[in-house]
Amino acid sequence: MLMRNSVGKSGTQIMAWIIIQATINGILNGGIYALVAVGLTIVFGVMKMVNFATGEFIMWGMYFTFLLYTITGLNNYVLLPMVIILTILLGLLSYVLVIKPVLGRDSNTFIMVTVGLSYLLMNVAQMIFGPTPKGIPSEIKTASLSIGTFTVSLPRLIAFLSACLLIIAIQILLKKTMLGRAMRATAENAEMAQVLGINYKQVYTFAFVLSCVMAGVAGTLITPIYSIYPSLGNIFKIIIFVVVVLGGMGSVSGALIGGLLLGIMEALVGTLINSNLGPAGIFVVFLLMLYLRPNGLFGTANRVA
Amino acid sequence: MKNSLNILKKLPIAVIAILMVSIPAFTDNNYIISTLVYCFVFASLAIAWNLIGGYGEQVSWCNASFVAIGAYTGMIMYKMLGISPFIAILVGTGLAFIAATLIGYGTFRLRGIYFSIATIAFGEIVRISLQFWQGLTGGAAGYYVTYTGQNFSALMFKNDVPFYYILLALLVIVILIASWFERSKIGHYLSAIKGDEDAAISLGIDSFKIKLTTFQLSAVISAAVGTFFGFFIGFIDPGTVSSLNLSVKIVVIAIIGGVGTIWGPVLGSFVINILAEGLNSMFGDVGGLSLAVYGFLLIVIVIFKPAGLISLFPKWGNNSKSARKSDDESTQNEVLP
Repeated sequence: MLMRNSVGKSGTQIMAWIIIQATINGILNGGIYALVAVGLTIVFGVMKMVNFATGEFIMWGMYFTFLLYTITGLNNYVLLPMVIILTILLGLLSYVLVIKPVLGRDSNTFIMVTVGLSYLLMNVAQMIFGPTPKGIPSEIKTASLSIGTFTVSLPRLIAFLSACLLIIAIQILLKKTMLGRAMRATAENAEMAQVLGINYKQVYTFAFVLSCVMAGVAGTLITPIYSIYPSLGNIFKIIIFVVVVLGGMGSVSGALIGGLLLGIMEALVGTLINSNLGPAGIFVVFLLMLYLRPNGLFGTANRVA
Repeated sequence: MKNSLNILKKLPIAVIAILMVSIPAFTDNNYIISTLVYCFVFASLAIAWNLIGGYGEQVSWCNASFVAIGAYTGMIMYKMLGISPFIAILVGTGLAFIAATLIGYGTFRLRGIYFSIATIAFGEIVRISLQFWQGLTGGAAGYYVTYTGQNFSALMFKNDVPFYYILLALLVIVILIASWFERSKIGHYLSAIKGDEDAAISLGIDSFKIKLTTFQLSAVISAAVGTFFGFFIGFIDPGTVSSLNLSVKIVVIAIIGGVGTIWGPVLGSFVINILAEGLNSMFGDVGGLSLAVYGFLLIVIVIFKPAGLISLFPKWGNNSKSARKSDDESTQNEVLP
């Protein structure tokens, strides 16, 4: 498939073309990783917990889109506001029933309950929708733009641009609004923030639900790209964790750059070595990272949202 | 007083031990026998996880990968080279030891959730590798050995009774290892690290080395159990022995039973395996039901009964430890490097 435009060119040119094309695809994918990773980073910064159910919120975002499509027949971008409302509800429900009861306990407790939540969400989806992958038919699925000899898949481009816009919006929220300041203050020092009159429980709720919504939006954006199945969240979840560690645990810009880098890495390993090994390549890089630069690529650990 | 308490504590164990040994004499129902074998296997695996996850509070999500390493090594060495699983077990546990060293070496220098994340990543690497190297592992289609008649050194039997005794014996060995571990120097160091890592380090405890050794022990036990488990089920594929699902099942068993105790994981294994069989026979093949129940139970137990079901029997679990733990979990100072 990749060789289509390259017939008759020299070996190095073909190689260069393949690498650039893979990099383009990787950057576009990386935007989605970054979107979810920023959500996870905010939760980590504010609540000092890792949400192991993040991948399942992506998956439920996709199933919500599928469900709404089946009812209304509208395309996934139009359905986005409805999906956001549904993920807010799911996020709130998860927060109240699962996270709130263990607030104040150690980080292992958070790991346990969120893994429990991820299994519950994943397998409830399997019981409702079955294990067979679902897809939403639309014309945009196969649409693509040509830039020179390179092709850019339209749904991937839209997903990438929307993810970038959302990340910018969240940066503004964190830096310019009272709520954002309250979140950053809580991330810096929860006790001091409380003394200053910030209701940390509200901040926690908001941060958690925000991260769920970001995952859900990512889910809607990728429905034209991936088929929908219950264990889809697993593979995403692991990629997102790697992004967050790569970016230095708790830095929004780190998560953004980490997401893009990881997308490129996955695409290059997938194209140059073997498409089945793309994810494995990521994990190997990740384990190497832990040896060499455990504080993230930029050594900015401990910085908070 | 102390003596009579000790006898009281050991009496039910003796009764259960006699019961367990004699069960195959009372029934020739292979279904009951094989369900019990599953209980033994998962009790051993949950005890192994409990060493690092319970006593050490380092939550591992890749113990299924060690099971897979043990199972695949055993079956591949038997099928390709004709080597008895009793010898292959040495290779399998050796490989698991190396894998645990690789993971632990990078992550135990860091605190916080790095270890947990790295174990999830490692689990995926193993699963993808097993699928990818089809020539060696059979890929996604799985790997099996064909039955060639009763043969002890190849672990082939016409029914599950020999497996019942082998895995029961293995469980007893694992329980003995765990109770040795609990009372050993390394076990005490580990509980000191769990209590207050900085204080433990300032007293000269090499926290990195203690955690690494414990994780290696956990991996080696899991791989050894994995070799026998592989020959017991006779057919293995990346989905059954190396998935995150299996790792989660092991963790759920340990937590539901009671972390940081010896008998908790054993109790958890019987509860979960019998519950799973019950759900299967009641609802048939509703995909995902038992896993959804695991997720639900994990949440409920962690929220309402963090010391596990074993805490309902105060004489059994050494609950001085686990009870104290659940009381003072009010700190949430995540320490980052």
